[in-house]
Amino acid sequence: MSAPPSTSAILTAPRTKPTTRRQLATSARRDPLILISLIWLLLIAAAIVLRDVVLPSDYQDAALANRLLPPLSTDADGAFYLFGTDSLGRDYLTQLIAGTTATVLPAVAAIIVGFVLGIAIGSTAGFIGGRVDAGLLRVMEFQVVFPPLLLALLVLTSVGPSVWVLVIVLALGSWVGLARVSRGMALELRELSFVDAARVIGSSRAQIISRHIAPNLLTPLLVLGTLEFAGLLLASAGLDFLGLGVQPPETSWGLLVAKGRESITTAWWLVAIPGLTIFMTTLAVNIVALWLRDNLDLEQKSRILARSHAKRSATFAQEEPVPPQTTNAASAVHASAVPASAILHVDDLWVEFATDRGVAKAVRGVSWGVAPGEVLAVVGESGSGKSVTARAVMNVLERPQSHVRRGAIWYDGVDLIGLDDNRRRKILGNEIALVQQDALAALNPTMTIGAHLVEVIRNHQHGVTKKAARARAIELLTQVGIPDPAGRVDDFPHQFSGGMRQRVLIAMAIANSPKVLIADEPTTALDVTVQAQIVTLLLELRARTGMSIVLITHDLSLVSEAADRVVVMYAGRVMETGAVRDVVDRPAHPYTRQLLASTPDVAAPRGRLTPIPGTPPSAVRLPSGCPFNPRCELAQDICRELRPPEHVVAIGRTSACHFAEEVVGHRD
Amino acid sequence: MLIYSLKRLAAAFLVIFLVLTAIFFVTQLLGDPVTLVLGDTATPTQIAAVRARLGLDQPLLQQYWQFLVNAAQGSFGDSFWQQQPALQIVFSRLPATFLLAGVAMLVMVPIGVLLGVIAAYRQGSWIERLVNVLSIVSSSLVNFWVALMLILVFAVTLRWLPTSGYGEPQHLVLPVATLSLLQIGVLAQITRTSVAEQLQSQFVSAARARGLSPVRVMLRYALRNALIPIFTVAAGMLIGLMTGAVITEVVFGWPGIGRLLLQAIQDGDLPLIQATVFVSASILVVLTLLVDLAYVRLNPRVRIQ
Amino acid sequence: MKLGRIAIAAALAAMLAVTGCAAGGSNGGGAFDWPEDGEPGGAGNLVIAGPGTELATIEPGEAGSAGHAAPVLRNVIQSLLTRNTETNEIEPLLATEWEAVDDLTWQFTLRDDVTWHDGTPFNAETAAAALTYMWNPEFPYSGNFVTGNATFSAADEYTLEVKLDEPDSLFPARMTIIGLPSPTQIAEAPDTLTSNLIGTGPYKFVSWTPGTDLKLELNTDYFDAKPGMYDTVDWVFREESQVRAQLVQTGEANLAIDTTPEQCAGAESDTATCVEYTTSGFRFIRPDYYNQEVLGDPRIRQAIAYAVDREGITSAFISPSSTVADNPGPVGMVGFSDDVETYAYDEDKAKELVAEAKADGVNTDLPLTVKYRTDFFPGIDDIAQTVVTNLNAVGLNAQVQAMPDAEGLAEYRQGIEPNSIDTITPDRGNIWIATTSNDLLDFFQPGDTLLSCTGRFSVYCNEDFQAEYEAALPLIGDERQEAFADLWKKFYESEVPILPIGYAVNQLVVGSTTQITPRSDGFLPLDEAVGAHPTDQ
Repeated sequence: MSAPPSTSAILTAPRTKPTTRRQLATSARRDPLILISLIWLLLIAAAIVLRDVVLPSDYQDAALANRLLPPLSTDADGAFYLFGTDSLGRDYLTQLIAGTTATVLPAVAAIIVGFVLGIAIGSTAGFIGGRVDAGLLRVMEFQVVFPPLLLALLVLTSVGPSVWVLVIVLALGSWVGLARVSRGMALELRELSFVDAARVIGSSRAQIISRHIAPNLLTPLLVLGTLEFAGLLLASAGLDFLGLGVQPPETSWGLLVAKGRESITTAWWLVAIPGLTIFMTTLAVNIVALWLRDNLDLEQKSRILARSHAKRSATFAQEEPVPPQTTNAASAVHASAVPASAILHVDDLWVEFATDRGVAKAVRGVSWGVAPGEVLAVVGESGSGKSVTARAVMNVLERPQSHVRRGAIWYDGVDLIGLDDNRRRKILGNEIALVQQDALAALNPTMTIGAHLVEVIRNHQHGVTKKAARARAIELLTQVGIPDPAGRVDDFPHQFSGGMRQRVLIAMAIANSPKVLIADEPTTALDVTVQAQIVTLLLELRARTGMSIVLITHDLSLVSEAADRVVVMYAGRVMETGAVRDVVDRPAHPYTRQLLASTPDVAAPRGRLTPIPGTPPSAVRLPSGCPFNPRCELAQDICRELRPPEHVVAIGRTSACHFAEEVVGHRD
Repeated sequence: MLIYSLKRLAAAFLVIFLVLTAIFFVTQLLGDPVTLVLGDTATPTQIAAVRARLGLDQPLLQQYWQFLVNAAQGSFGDSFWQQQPALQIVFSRLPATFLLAGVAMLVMVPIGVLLGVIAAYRQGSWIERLVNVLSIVSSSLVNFWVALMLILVFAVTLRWLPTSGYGEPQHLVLPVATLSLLQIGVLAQITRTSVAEQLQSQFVSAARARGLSPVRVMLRYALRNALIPIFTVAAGMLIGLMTGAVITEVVFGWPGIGRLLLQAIQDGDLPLIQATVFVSASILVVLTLLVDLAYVRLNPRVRIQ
Repeated sequence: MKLGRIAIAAALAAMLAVTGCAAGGSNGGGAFDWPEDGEPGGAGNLVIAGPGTELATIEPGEAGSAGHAAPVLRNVIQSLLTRNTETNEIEPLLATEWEAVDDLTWQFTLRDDVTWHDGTPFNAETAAAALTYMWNPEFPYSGNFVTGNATFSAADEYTLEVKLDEPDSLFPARMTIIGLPSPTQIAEAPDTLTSNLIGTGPYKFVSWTPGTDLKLELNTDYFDAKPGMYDTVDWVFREESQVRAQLVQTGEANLAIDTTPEQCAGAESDTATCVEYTTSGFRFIRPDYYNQEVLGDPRIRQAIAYAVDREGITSAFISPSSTVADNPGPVGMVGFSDDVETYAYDEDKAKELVAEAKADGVNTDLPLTVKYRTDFFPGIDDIAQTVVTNLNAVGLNAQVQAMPDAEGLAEYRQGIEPNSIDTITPDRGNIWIATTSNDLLDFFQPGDTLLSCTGRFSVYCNEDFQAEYEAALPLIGDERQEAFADLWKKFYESEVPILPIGYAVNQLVVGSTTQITPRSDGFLPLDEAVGAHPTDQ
């Protein structure tokens, strides 16, 4: 672990940034629905708070002469009735306002009680854990099992319908959801360092819970709580409707609907209007809940922002100035970097991503090619764009954030970019196959390994029966070295170890005898012995079938073992290309050289490792000129000003450095 | 697996026992049930005789013990209202509840899931916006209001459908419509969210990278894995419907157990209340058990322990 | 919509005219013409939408007498005599003649063409057995009409003799209410009495699904069965009055009982008509009297009578065709007073009286609670609220309180342990809204329950009233009428023992394919109901 954080920092629980508040305000202003909902809720609140002021003292008095007037009518004295009158001749709008308190307040009180109960019980359970947790969990489960309406009906009729009982009954229905969320978050939070430190300092459990855990729960609970509140409004209205909630002469919207039901065919407004009011209030609350969630929940936020950015694709980056190059020079570079017989050829590919921090230029003018039977390594640190290139080939770039700005990917004389879906699908998984880095994530958890294999076989080889495919699947598993293949073919992905899963991915990739296998970091997640096995397997397969392998990795030792040629990428650009022996022995780019110097097993036998200072640049804010210049040992002014073009250093070798010749010539 | 099931079964029994106990004591608060049996005009001797007959003059704990013993044998006594075994009455109302629940699920689940899948597939399209609007509107709808409005429009004004009742297919239409309208939005939304989430996952892009057709990817990869939260939500809805959609039953005069319970409570009919709650709780417990077992089936990761 | 309805009505009329069910020009009139003789029945199935949830058993005491059962079930189980509800005269039914042989003995001549639905022959012996069983004050509903001891015996085959231990001029009236179940059933299968109703009426009991419906079928052997009667009856239970009215409107039912005036009027269309009929019952206000410091003051009681807008309430919440009541029973009741004070709605007079009482030291600010049982009858909540409005307008301090049914009943009851009249505290101030009926059409019925010191529902106890009331009880004929009428007039005008509001008017929604005339006792006489020819339905 790195140095311990400073004391003052850890005792302060992370707060929501001030920008969130601004975000809330902006999104409210932009969306009229949210504004209307907020205003509506304000009106409701006003109706409750200003009740005594607004309601005439005789609002309950009967006025039989004006019975059942429809909305928008006027009576003999000229009084106007916006919503008509009820069966006692009273203005319906007034009745509606009068009913607001008894409809909304019980739900408000209930949600507060539910909140308090839920947070208290949930965070205690999650934080303390053990038997307390188990016990409280049982209570929560039992609560859920007991049919809630049953409970409500029973309690209300036994104890007598009263507002307080109603509140308690409603609260009983809502605290469990809040408790569950609190418990989950408490479980997570208690593992965090700032809580640990607080414990070390000696804060009591109660202090920790109240000062550190509870405040962090507020945000997600706010969203959940608002949604629950909407539910409580409906439940409260329903109980009123059944006659189990508020009792006359108190009035509530649910009661108004129940009473109005008697005259539904002659006075439809008595039912329609209060019902509509309940609906609109609940809708307003739900809209507000969504508004909160979209602005407070981080995941939700980034997803929405990503989508909105993608929509405004016109704002994708301006093209960078490219230093002039003669066409001769360009084709010479092309000839050296890309084998003439290249079966797969990435040509001047540019890929960008929309992120909430701006446009990330992940790949900027990358070209490479792989010959039949060749193992090409694409090397680079994380963020270099190597995986993105692979994903671009396989057409699995993240949509809608990604955007192929320019370039082509040639296979068998066809540009994969812009190829129609049907033709492309015939190639992927068939002639070009991908082996991902994270095998567990790449497999469908609800399908057996056998099902995966059979599926990819039958998808591309028409006319193969299920039995034949299954037999072939078992064969493939044997080929990749899975012990007891017949026994394991019906197992699920999670039943395999990491190394075995990787082999399975390879089996899936070679199932249709591809011409090109793209392996994206195939060994990174595995331990050393397994790594070696996988590498051996891949090379064996190449030897046997003559398929090309594009090996994407950051591991230089792997490259020097397994690859024929190498492409070094950095910050979305190709730094150098060439045969592995050449590049490793005499790198033509400072980046390659510094990289070699920092890699064990490959570094000069002196054994001293020199890490490259600094970190790779963010794809959103790239340095001008040569992308490596901030970290380069040989950086000069020109490196910052002018982007070095890729040029031929020797036959079959290219480099993108102003001082490539010096680097090549230089020896450690 | 077997031990797990047995443990769950034992837990289920425990829960039912607790529910029975709770029911017994809560209903004691309901007050004197004798007036229901005898009506307005009972004399004191009549009242005393009936109390003795119903065993209401025994000490409370003895009544409780007797209650448990009877319950274990499946007897809750005769309903005060109808002088027939209470449990029988409850059973006679179950078919109506099951019918309503079943048909409602058959309508809402396919439509809701389909809408959600389409919305997830066509992100940013008008369908997705429609699903969003639908879900928020649907979860704000007031059940008794929707029911009454539907009756007003389709039964009273247009005369296309009956206002209430039970027995023929057309009686099902409005109640099912009411229940579905309220829940479809939620289903569509949860489907959309889960499927959209799954569509972002790595194994989906891996599947695409293997050249599988979009339909197959959507169904076997995205939807199949999204099923778990969808299933949980749908199961919750089913359980809610099975234990009685009280308000819908009341408004449409549907003879299910929800309405039965409400009436029993309003009448203070102790045996009927106890029997109904017992049956409801049992249904709930059994269904929850089945749901848990089905969940294990759905999610292979939980399967082999 | 309206256009559509007119079109349908026109088409229907045209159809009827064209098919020419019978000679006759009136719309649908021909549909109800049936031959005098021939096979009884032919009109098909009759669907009656009624509340049925209170139907706990169909034992004879309930089926023949209870307000929620008798309207339909008195077509199955019958009594010896019946009441002509237009003239209020008692008329023959199962007995053709009756007379008081002496003070303690009555003789009834029975019909000779009647059989119970299980085949038991109806004669003096079997009738005596049935009545002996039924003459039991413990039976719910019918037991309310049983007083004293009676011995039933057969004088000869069709002459029934009854011996009482005390004179009872109301005995024939009781015989219009107590039904006769099958003596075979009583003897051999008494536990089926609660679920299988065997009577002598025009309709036989078929089945009862509690909470859902009850089915009857035509008794083709009935002495008055004729063509045009319905072959089967389906009494479907719907709790909500609105729903019942709608069922007739949409054609799903032929009759709907117990709806509100608005619902009934609202159901008027080309498929349904609204028939209103006054019943023997009335709604009333029962202010606490005994030992009350405020409500016991006659000025306050009169003020209440003037303050309450009984015309408005009756018209709005009972029916526009109903009338305000100032007697504890309908016209035709023995003891009805024609010239009693009518307490017309007069707010000013009421205010005066209240002010007067206040000046005299009466605490007019005492909180008065106007109570009612929720959903006891349609409109009860509106009536209560209006009463409160009225009372507050004249300087009293009233508020409404709704009570759940069972709890309310427990409180409303007075003359039964533990609620005896002495338990009323001086400041209780309860004012109950309630309803009652007067099936015996005699002052005794309200007197016994509401006005005597030990009345089951009485909060009124005045020594003088009690003495005069008891003196009048043994009288018969005109003497009785005069004594009770004078008694009521005297005390109503001075201290308003109870304040009747208006006569209960019941609504019956009748479908266009049915003809029936309802009665003031709510009974639906299905032997007089005629259905339209099935082809016209």
